[in-house]
Amino acid sequence: MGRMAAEVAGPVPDTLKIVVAGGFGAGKTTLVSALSEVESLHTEEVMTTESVGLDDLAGVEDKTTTTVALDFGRITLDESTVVYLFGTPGQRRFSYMWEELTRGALGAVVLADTRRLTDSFDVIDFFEERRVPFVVAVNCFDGQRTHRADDVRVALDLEDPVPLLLCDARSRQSAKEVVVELVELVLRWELSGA
Amino acid sequence: MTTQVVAVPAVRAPEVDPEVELILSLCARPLSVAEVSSRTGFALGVVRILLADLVDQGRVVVRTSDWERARPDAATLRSVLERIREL
Repeated sequence: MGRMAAEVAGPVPDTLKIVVAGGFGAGKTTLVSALSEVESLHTEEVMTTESVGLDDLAGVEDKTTTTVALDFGRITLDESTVVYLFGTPGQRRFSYMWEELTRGALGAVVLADTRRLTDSFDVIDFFEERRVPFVVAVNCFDGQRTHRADDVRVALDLEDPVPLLLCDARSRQSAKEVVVELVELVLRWELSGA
Repeated sequence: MTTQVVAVPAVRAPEVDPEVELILSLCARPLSVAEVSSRTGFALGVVRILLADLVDQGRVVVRTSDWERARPDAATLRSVLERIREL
């Protein structure tokens, strides 16, 4: 397929997918926009989920169809390499999206908001269970580094090898450092055979 | 979602539905499925179905990066790191 595509329209780039997970208002779209070469892109997926209602007490499941918005960005590194960043909410009820987004993903960024650290627990558990390489970036969007990284690490009960850094999601430079941290982690995994 | 889609140039383009024509024109250059969805405004599920038909008809070809099947090797990762730092 690859060769065929190349014959018809020049080189088809290789793609790297990075998942950016965080609670509402944690700054996912801001971080993606800070890095994306095009305005943050938007798409929708219609999902069928099993909803949990009172009937579940009797073992009856309901199916609900919901439309989920996905924001993503694109970074062209060169003509043969494109990085996509996909934002996804970090709460458990969105876990059916994490499955698809993490499939084939290079790794993930958990964007944590110190006002609502608990929003990150579920997605961190998910990435740990699935062995998805991830870094935690604490968004200090008010510009005040009121939280010490160590305190956040303890609050999130993060294992030692998980990189944690403070960032300002509005800043391209800062957002770049977050992605660099992730790729460095993936490189360490690759070199250690993990 | 990041699978790249490219339209196959046709000598004589048969008449197609406007939504299909839109997709084919967007895919004149490689474009991801997610971007096709974003640019057309069609939900991802809809885009996937339309693309599957177009693949069957030989109107588009798709390619999923090897890096989505296996992690890139160390040399590739180092080169990616270098490029990101240069952004």
